[in-house]
Amino acid sequence: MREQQKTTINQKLTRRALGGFSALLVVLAAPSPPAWAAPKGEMAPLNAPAPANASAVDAPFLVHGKTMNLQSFKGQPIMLWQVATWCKSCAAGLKTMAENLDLIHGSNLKIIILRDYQNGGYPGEEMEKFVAANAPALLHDPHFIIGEDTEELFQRYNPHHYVDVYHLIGSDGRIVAISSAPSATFDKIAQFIKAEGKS
Amino acid sequence: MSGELSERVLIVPRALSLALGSRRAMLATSLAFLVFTVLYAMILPATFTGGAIGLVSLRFLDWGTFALALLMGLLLALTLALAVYSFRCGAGAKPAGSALGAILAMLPPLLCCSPILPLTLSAVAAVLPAAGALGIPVQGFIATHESEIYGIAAALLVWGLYGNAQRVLSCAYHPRAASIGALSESRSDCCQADAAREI
Repeated sequence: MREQQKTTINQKLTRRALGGFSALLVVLAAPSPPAWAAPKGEMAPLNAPAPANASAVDAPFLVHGKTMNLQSFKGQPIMLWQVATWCKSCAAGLKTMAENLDLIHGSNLKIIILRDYQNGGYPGEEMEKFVAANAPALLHDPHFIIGEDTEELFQRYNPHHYVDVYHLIGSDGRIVAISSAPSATFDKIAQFIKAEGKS
Repeated sequence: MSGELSERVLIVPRALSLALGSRRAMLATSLAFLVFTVLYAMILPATFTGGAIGLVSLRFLDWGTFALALLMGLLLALTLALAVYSFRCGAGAKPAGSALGAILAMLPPLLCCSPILPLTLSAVAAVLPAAGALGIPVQGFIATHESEIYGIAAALLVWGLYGNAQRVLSCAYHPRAASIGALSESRSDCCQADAAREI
């Protein structure tokens, strides 16, 4: 009689533990909620809305060792994209840009791709080598500027130190969207190009 | 020496032939394999999409990543089948290795270039400022050591599979000893917990 009771208790415990184990596996295998966010609206880093009426502030950056300013592109739509050269989504984003060159060439969008200040704090290859390895067509394209963050620009446009983040700045100087991973969110960039009109 | 090794290797197929002996078990395991493989096929390429998972990440699935998803899905499904059998037998299961492997395999796609880690660490940094500086080095390390992390994850899953196979065989051939072993293990856990409480 006792043996039977023990067996029944064991079976019940077994079922519960088994259910728990299966549930654990399913939970582990399920992606985290923010990762499900579709590339729509104001995903950033994955879905932060662009600050209302925020104007893009001026900040310096480096191109071939020379200092340039965001202010120099006033009146032109800009995509300011900050990357790290060890980041896989950044590499995939460069390829996505190269695949959509026709659309970009039909616009007056200036895409400024900058390596995070000190590569975000983790060593990696030089920016030119990174672009050459993933999307060499962008290196000499007049729509693209490849350079490096200054500390000032990094602090102003990437205070949370995201690895892969971009700002879409309209020709009126307003920040339209903040997002990440153009490989997954290029439709947002395409919408921005359409909204800003063609050259 | 080689005889002992082949004996050890044969433990898994022997245990699987027992655990997958019924049509129902075979069907359930096939279904689990399918579900886990699809989940991994969506999660693993998220390293290229900044953590975005779904159809958008499936676009970046290549043959290498698909093979890895198949391997992970297979190991998890077989471990689950063995765990179910040994639970029914009353010997309990060892989910630690498999669970750890399953979690580890998801770290690169979810943490490498997504904002999850910077956001989490900036929240932690409010209480523990030093934690804020960890984000990028951890992300950089994960991004540049992806293959090693997947290797360790697969090894942990194999270890979990082997551990559960041992339980299945000991339970099938010495059911009473196995259940007593499971009981004494849980008893020793409870005693350790009691001891800790006393301290």
